[in-house]
Amino acid sequence: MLTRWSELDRAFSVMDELQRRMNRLFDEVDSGRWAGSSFVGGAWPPVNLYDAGDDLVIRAMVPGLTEKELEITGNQEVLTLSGERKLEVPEGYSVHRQERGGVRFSRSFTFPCKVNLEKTKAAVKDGVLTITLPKAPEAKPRQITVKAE
Amino acid sequence: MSDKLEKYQDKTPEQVQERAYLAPRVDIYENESELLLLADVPGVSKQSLTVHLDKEQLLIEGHVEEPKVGALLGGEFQAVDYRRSFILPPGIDGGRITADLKQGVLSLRLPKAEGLKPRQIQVKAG
Repeated sequence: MLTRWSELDRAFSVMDELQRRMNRLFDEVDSGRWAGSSFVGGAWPPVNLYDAGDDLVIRAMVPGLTEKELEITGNQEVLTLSGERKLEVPEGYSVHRQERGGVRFSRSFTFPCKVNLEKTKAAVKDGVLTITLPKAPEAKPRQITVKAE
Repeated sequence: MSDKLEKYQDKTPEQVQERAYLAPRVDIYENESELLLLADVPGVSKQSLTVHLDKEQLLIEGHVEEPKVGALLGGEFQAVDYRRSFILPPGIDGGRITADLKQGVLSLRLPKAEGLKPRQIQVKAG
């Protein structure tokens, strides 16, 4: 399971890299810089995938973004997370330091098992997005009873 | 060697837990009346964030609680705590600093002391 996810993610990481380069173009116009991420990988937002039995769960670090500013779309087997974090200097302020940066992003994911994208739930709390994807019935763990003879 | 070490650690009554720290990224802005500091601290709740001022040293600490979601299949981030300190310039009114946490972004308003704000000086005609 683990390898499958990472292999697929690697394929997508190529797309991410392209996206990142595009982001960088925008950022260079916006802010002048977008320092490398302190997280593994470097794609934004950083994402973890969990197996929670009946569900797969994605958690993503999205500081500053609300539900409204995030777009989650499901298309067959692919889930896409996109949005934009705008870098705005508050009005009337001068800039001393800018490390947070603005970013326009779009990341796509496929999953190691079949999921029901229509029943996906998403919530943001303290700048962390949690997406819960129920597994398709055939992919859910099953208890097999062992009969004694 | 590592075997011995593990055995030793098993026997020690107090396990020292080491937490990793990450310096949150910040933006710092200034206007006539205050400095405004914004810091990205995703995963930190109001209860687990502390902003400490000791003389001119400002310390921001945030604890990240990793919820037990399930087995990790693939990961790009780890739950690490945040910690960063700044030396404030003279003339900040420490008593009036306010902090606000929204969507994992901390906003710290550091007002300038009244006497240091720019003032318009009236020129009187003699």
